[in-house]
Amino acid sequence: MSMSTGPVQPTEATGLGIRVRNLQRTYGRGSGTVHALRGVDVDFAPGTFTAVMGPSGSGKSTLLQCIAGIDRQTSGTVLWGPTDISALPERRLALLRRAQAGFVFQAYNLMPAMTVEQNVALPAVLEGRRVDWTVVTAALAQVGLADRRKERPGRLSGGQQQRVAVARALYGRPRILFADEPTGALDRTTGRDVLCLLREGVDIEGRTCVMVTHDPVAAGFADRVIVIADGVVVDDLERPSAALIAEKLSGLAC
Amino acid sequence: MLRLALGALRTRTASFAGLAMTLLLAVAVITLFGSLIAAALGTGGDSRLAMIGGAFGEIAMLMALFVVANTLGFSVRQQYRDIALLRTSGATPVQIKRLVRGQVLLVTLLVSPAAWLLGAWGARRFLAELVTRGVAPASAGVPWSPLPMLIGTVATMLVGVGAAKAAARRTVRGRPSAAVDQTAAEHGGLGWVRGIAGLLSLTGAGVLCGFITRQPVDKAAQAALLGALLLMIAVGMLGPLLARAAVGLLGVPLRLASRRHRGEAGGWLAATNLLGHAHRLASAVVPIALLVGLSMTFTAITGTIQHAAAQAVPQGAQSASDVWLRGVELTMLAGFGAVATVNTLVSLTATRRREYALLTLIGATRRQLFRMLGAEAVVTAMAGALLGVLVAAPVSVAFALAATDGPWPWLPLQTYGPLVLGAMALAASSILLSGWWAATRPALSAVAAP
Repeated sequence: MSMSTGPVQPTEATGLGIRVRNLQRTYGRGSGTVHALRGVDVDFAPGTFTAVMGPSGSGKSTLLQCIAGIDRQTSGTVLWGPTDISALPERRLALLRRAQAGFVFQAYNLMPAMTVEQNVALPAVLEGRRVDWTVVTAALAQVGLADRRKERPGRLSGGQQQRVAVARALYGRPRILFADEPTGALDRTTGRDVLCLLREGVDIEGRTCVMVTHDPVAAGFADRVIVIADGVVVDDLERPSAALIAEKLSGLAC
Repeated sequence: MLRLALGALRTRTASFAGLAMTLLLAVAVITLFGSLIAAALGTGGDSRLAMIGGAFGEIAMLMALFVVANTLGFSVRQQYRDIALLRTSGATPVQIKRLVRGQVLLVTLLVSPAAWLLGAWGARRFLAELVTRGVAPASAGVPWSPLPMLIGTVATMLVGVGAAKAAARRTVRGRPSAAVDQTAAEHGGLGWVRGIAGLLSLTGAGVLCGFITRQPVDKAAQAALLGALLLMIAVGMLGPLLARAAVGLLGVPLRLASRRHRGEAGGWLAATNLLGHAHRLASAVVPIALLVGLSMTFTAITGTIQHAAAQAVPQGAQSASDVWLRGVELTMLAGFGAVATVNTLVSLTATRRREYALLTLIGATRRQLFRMLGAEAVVTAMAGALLGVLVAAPVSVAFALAATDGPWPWLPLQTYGPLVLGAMALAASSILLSGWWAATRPALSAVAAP
């Protein structure tokens, strides 16, 4: 992956495809065993935006965490492009994550002691790259927070903090972006802004984006929606309408 | 509210363990010296025994007060979000204060029986030792009396309630909504009450230093310790400012080093973390400063007395037992300081679990994480030691002026060297070990947890 830190330009699809085969994840053992994932097979094509949906406890977050390489599967394989991440040792996985992937979580995205711009530059610092602060500022400008770059996260609203997290992901120019309920704590308008940023990353930079959400409106930004229930994929929908998503989900909730 | 207080204790056992330990020590120490005074009264008011009990007890009480207040403030800050949540669900400030007060009273009661045993046992050991050294008459014995124990518990409760009031004051200020935000906001500035209290204690310590220089050696020694405690209180109050200044100074080499070794972000991370969170840093630095400052003051006093005595007439048994007594007092102070240090640093580091997890998720390797922890540990320990030396210096000089004809206290390197290094090693290893523990937990659950 090119490490150029120039302004964001349209490029060929740089996203990595993800291939998941027979993914299982269990917690605990004996009679208390919980089967969070019971054999998931799914592919995410490069440069696509997929929403993962499902009722609470369906295993959607576990799926995201396993395919993002931040949780270990019990069995099965996860491939990022040609690389089988499920077999990588911890250190190699950490290096791969920081080179290829970006993360946006529902909460606790930022280091409280660091300023907004330091938070954005963090992945570059961790990689030992020279930080180009004008590019950091540009990434912050993209999320509308360039003027807050010297402040600490505690002084920002939840939505602003989330946008800083997105700016950090943009600055790193990852080939895959994982988002876990990125709009969960946000109001409609701010949530829309964040989703537009994720969408732009897919459209302009060809990034692969996987997002867990329970919000049909958020899922409407995706190219495809997969629905998880009881640890298996129960639906796979291409550009479904919000109404269809709501219908599928309400069917599961009962 | 009592049930709530109990609930908090049950679900947050770990974070109350430190508070419990401090309260236990406080009750035990007061019981110990109370028992000694009772023993003195039992032997017909042996004045020397009563004096030792009184002088030790005074310092011990003040030390206990300081450490309890510090630990409690810290424990309340740890519950900041819980408290904010309670407030958003309708708890009034008065109820919150009652909750915090309830916790202290409850924990004090819980630890009291063990503390009484510890104190009573300590008093008997101490008295036996005094008798062997001929400081106390052989007839002296610790009488069985519940009074010292009662005083120990009640005094600790009073101190705790006072400290709880001060600690709760901060948490119930402002709107609760601000406190339940995802990323805890750093409190801006010091707050004027704290600033003024800090300046007042600083002034008080200054006046005391002037007073020390005109006192006979015995009184000067006691006053010097009080002065050191007063300065410690000032440090506690002005902590965020002082800690930041100290780290700013010590962090320069860190930043330079991290600039040279590009790719090893540990130093930069450490410096940014330390400077960006002044209050958290102050909480970490104050106990180390306490440990180093008080033990150094003590060593300086003892060393200067010994040195002056050696130059004058050799004094024999009397001064030998004096030196021993000072040693006991030093051990006691160091014990308090060590408990406060370990307790604060361990829980402070452990609560940063989510930060370590976040760093891991966005690509920090273990190596970088541990370099960061290591750098933070070293700089924090050094900043604490630096502040400790600044606390010890003025009172030691004032004492030297009183006890000798020059301003230079006699500080034997072989005594304070191990003390300062030991304190720094204790602090650094607390941070490293608990950091190690926190950073090796699965990153995921830490970030995903609400």
